[in-house]
Amino acid sequence: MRLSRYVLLLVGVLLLGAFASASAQEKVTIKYAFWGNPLAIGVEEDILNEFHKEHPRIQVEPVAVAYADYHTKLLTMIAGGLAPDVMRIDSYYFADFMDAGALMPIDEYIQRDGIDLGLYYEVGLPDSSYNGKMYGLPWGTAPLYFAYNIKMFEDAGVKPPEVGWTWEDFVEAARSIARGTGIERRYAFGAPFTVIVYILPFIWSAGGDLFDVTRTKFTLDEPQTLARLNELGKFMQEGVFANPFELPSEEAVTRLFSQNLIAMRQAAAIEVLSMQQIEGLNFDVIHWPTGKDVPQTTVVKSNTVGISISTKYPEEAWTFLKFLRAPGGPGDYLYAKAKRIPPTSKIPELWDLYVDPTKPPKSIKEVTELISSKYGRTLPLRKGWLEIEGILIPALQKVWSGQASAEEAIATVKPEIESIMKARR
Amino acid sequence: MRHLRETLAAYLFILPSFVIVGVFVIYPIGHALLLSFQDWNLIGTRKWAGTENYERLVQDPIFNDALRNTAYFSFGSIPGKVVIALFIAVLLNKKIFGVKAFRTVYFLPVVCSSVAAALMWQWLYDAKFGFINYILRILGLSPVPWITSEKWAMPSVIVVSVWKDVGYNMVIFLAALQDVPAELYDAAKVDGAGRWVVFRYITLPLISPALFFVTTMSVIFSFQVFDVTTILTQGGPGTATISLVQYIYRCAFQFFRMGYASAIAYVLFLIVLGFTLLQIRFSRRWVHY
Repeated sequence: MRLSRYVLLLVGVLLLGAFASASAQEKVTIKYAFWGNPLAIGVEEDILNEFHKEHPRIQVEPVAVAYADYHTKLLTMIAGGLAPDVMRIDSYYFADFMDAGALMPIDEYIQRDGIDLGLYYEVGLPDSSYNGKMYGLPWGTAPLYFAYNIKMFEDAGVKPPEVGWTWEDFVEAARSIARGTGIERRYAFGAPFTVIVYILPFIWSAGGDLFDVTRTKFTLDEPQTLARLNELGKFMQEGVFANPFELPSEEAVTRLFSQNLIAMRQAAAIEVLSMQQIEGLNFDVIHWPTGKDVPQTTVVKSNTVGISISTKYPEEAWTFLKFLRAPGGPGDYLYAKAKRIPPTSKIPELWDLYVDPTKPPKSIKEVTELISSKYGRTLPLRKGWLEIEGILIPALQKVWSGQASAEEAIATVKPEIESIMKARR
Repeated sequence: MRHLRETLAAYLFILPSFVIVGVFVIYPIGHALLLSFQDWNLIGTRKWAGTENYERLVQDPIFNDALRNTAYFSFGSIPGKVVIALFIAVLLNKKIFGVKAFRTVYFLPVVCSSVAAALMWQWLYDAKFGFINYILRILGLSPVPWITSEKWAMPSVIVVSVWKDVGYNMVIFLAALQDVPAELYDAAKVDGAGRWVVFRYITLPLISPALFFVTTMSVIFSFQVFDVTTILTQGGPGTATISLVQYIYRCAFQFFRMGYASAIAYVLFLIVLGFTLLQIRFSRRWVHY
């Protein structure tokens, strides 16, 4: 009788062990949300396939949404209790998502697995950290390059921009390039000016900024900034810059740039890629014109990929995140190979994979490194950024069209912007 | 007892519809009212804001621009949508060759996707390469910055909206015109009435219910304009064409200020309600059923 009891106990323990072991090996499905074409997720699919080969126990389900609706959908999913386990967040939205407590801190995982944050371009890290903690790993850290059309510079007999060039050099080149009338008019510079990132490099080179260093005071009404805004408005009215209202999108800028009608522009990695596809278009990139004692005038934009605070599988989510974004990890190599975004980490082999030496821009690798080390600057992002932008841009458009001076336009919107900053502290 | 059973059966039959309307219409309307007194970003905690959202509206320059633009759009487009539709309907009510083809052509913009239509017009209006300015140049005229100047942007939006909606109103007018008894026209002819007199004293009164419907719906739809301004001008240049619904969308889904967006939505609701009640009140004087 006693023996049979022991046998029964032993069988029970064995069964429990087997059950526990089966649970540990049980397949886990996590969701990974990112923006992109839901019908053709491209490199993300390659990354997922590689990940599944290496980690057959973790199934990653992609949630791809077009960029325009992505963050709204993400918020709706989180609000509905269906938050994806791993999600990409654009830095414009990062502070607002953090304010809502969407992501979990990952410092412990970073330390445990020895992720060397020093391998990332430093300028990309602030857009993944909040109140001193890391909440994600950088994705798509890249400068918003200053691109110039080599043929238009040659035609105008103007020397192409050189490293260290200044606002004064830019003005001189711009005035020499702008010429012609009607549909033949050649503009020195063109941008839609629909978001703050188009304006900030000009403000920075004047020694101004959108906010003070604590990002709690709106500072666009400082005299040097107002003077620069008025100067930009004058350029647009004189036709040195293309009329921003006639450039509703980056595609429109690319079209005129490739038709040798716009000589200089701002270009994110995606625009660089699309310009590379245009047969016969010769262009290069450089940092933005610097100001007096202000070399950091080129926007470096980064995004983040983090883990949902409500994930049931933090360990599996981290395993995937590490695979996707750890510097020099498989994800980094696959992104570089796909030439989708410039490398986020300072690893030379990634650049060899990314750069196509047969295509312009020839200086992209050197310029990216220069921008990362000397000329780059992250955006002064904060909570309510998009709302502030939504109020500021229409006011500035009145300056561009000559309907108001910068002083009048900024004075009109300052109280509203300050009230948003107060409410979204 | 039988009466009770029948009543119960009737309530049971309408229950599914009532549940759907309750969940998808009545509850959101009530919830939006509650939200309009709160501050909420979709996922954080809701904070009671009292009347702060409504107070902010008064000082918000973009809300004021959106309100003014929506009124400009409505009063600029409604006469065109009603008068042109009625004029076309009267013409297409005649027995002329190819009338069905004409009716189809005028109705085509209605079935065309708003996004596709706005994109097509964006190209037509393009200041440099647009077809309209190309024609103007051939005629020796200066090109017009149709959608890129504050002066021209709203009239250009109105033209697109009228072009898009006129066919829908035309069909309603056409149906009403075909219901007017032919004997009345015959009798008027016998009495020697001219075309205008026949139209003014026979056609118009008899189609007045359709006219009332079209006007009321046009007011409601015009105050809700969103697609054309969003695609064609993105609310610009500056805030020249931003509409109330577009601003509600921005506040809710770009700035994630659900409470403030709900407050604007309620203001819009009250405006539309006010106009509709006014129209109903005045309709007693001119609508003949």
